[in-house]
Amino acid sequence: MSAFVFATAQYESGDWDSAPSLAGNVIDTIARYTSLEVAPQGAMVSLSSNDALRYPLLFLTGHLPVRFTAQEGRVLKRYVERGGLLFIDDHNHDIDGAFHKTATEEISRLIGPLQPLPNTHALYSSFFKFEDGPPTTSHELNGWGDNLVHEQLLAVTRNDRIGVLYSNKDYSSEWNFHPDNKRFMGVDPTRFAVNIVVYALTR
Amino acid sequence: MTATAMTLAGATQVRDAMSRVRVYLRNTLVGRSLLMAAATGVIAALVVRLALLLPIAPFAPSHTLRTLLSWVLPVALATGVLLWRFLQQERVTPVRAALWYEERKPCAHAVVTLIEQPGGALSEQIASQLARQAAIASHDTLPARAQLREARWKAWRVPGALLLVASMCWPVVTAIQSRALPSGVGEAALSATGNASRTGAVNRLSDWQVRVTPPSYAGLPAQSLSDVGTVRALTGSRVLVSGNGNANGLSATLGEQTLSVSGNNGWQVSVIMPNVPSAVRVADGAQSRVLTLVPYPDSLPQVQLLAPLRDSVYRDTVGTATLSAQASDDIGLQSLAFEVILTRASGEQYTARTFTVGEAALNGSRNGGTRYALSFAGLNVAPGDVMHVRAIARDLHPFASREPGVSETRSIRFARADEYDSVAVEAAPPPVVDSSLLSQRMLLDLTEKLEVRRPRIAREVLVSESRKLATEQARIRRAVSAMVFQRLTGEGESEHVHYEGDGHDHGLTAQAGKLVPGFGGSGVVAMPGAQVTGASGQPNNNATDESAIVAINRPLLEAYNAMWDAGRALELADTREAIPHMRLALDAIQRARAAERIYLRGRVRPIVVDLARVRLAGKDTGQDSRRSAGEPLTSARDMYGNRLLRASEQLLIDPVAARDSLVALRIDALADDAELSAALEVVLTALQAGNDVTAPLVRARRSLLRPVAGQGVPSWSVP
Repeated sequence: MSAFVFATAQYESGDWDSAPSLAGNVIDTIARYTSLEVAPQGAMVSLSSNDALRYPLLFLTGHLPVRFTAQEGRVLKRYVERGGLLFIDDHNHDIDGAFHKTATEEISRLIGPLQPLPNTHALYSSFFKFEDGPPTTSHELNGWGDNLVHEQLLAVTRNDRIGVLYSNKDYSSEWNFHPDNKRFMGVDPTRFAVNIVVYALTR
Repeated sequence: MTATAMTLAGATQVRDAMSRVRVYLRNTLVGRSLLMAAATGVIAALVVRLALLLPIAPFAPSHTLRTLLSWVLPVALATGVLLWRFLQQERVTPVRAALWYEERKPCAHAVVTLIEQPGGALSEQIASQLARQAAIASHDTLPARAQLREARWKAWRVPGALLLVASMCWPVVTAIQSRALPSGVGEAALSATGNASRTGAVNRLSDWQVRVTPPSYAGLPAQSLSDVGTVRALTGSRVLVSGNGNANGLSATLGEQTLSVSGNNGWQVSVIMPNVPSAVRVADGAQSRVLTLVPYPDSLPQVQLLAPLRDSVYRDTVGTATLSAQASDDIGLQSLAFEVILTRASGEQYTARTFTVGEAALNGSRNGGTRYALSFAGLNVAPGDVMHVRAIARDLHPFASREPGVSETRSIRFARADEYDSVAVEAAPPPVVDSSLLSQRMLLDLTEKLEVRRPRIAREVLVSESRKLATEQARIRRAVSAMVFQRLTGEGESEHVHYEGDGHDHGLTAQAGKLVPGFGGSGVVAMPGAQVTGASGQPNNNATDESAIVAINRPLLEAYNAMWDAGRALELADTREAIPHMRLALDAIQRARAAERIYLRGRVRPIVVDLARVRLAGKDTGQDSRRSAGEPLTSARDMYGNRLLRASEQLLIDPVAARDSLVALRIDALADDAELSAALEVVLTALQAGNDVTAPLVRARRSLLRPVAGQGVPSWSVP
């Protein structure tokens, strides 16, 4: 069994690399809390390449409008149909922002409409227990972005399984801290990433 | 009987005689060797014992060396002499015995031949000769016996004499050795080993008298103790040690301090009982004796403040407070009083006044109490004052520096007049961001609603609400203006323009309150599809007049101008006219938000996580460094046990040093091991009395081996 590789999706439009430290922090968290075989280095895979199909979990983020090319749309659609989990996070944390509007529109067009994910979903208990659903971020609580605390995540399910997970909570900012700063944090904010990874690998 | 038979009978008789001579000579030689060995051993033991008594400083033989020299060396020398004699001297064979016989009786010259030759090998002539020799041997044996005795005397007289003399010297040397040891100790040491012999030596250190006089303030009687090794008394008591004989040659020390010894018809040493266990050593030449001083201190008075029972707050400064206290002491109390500290503070001023009230003389009683009514009016207390009250008791100790016994301190506070009218104000949280500000979208919604209500409301209401919206519209416009100018020039000011030739051209001119690209400027950048509304409200297609900065901010400029128009219409309460401008402004803002941004980022550096470090696996081979638990520290009890064991062993070799070790051990044990101290006191008493110390030593040893309570239940217990 090969090690899990945390993959960040590249797309032609927008800034796909707006959270450069996130991958390392998520890998660190997986290694810290689980015994999963995990690759020490993340991968950046283009959505226009079939290489994306090799990764069970793809992370996609950005601030700018997202418009998938035709090839990216085909690969993305195939990726979800084959059981992959695409985790999209709005780095703007703004439901009126360009990323949110375009990304949700693209997902709805290519894969299907995003629906609110119940806070009792298995995602929130796949490893750590999150009784209140998705953990809030400091960006939500500080009133940044749209000044909203998003109670639920959005998702597109395929065969009773999440195919696309969409977040307005700005985990991209929350998890994009310098790796050396994790030791100063009272509660590791990246624990929810473990649930997403474990869910993607076990469901 | 035939001649042959007679010959054979004579030969046999000669052989038997020679055999007896041989045995006699052999026993003589063995006895001589034993005497020489015994004399050597005894003489060596005497020499060693005498040598060990000599003060050869700085040589101080150890216990092992003393044992070696006292016992092993004499035995080794005696054994060596015995072996030397055994190896050196020749065996007494029958031929040698016959030769010795022939040498002293020449007439028996055929004896050697008769002994050497077997019976059947002799001729008739020789046999006849032997027969005659036999007759001579059988009839003339007395001279041979005399010569044998003479030979034995010569062989034994020298070593025997040496052994006799050495044996006679043994008691003398033993007496000398005993006199060199202190009386009692040596006897005790000997008795401890099972040797009950006593020398009965008398010295000035035996049977001393100890008189203990407590301090006069204590009022305790003096004590006289006879021949004790330990004195327990109040700290500061005078301990007078006296003995028989004059003080010449006597010395006394208390630790490092030298004490004077005085007296002609009896020596005396006086010492004040220190506050820690100590030992007084009195030495008389090589002898010494130790008196252990065990002090107990004069405790401070125990004081209890009965009233007030707890801290109090008085609303008024009038009235009285009842004070009550009781005290006790082990010796006696002198006085009991209340100490009051009255503090007054106002702003930067702080004053304190201390005084004593209600003092009662207790006249040396061990228990006592007092009460006092403290009047506030007499003290001139004021609101805000704080009064601290405690009881203090002094005992009979005469030293001025003696600390009094004190009780707990209670505080009485007098409330300020405004204390009960004040309102506690909690610190306010920081102000939140003004969330009442309206966005352009919300402002448009409100305007549209007002437009819907317009036919149903009065003109005054319409004007009032419309002007409020106009104010909000102006605020948003200024925010957009600030953003534009911030991006243009870094200036914070908004809504300012410049004129041609003022040297500060940023490409904008004011036309009827609106901002339009001006001056036909330099650095023109053509923006495809650029539209900027002009003063007329129409899009300004003169893109060639735009600067690059203006081109970037064109959507915001368009929004700004539209807001200006909307605001003007709202000021006129013409909501219908304002709405299109407001929509135009909102669309322009949306375009500005969706405008292409330029992100200047470097290449994403791959981050490689050190999984081994994260999982605390480390970078080494996975073999952790071996660590072993450190040796536990030797407990005080173990150290005491080791010291007791060494002292017990030393008791057999050097009783004086052993006694000193036991005294030192007891002084140390007084602080933290009362049981061992008591057991050692019994040992020292027995040692001093010359009794067998085996049983007291065993009890002392057992006191160290008493079981220690452990935590938890034993493994065989039922939980």
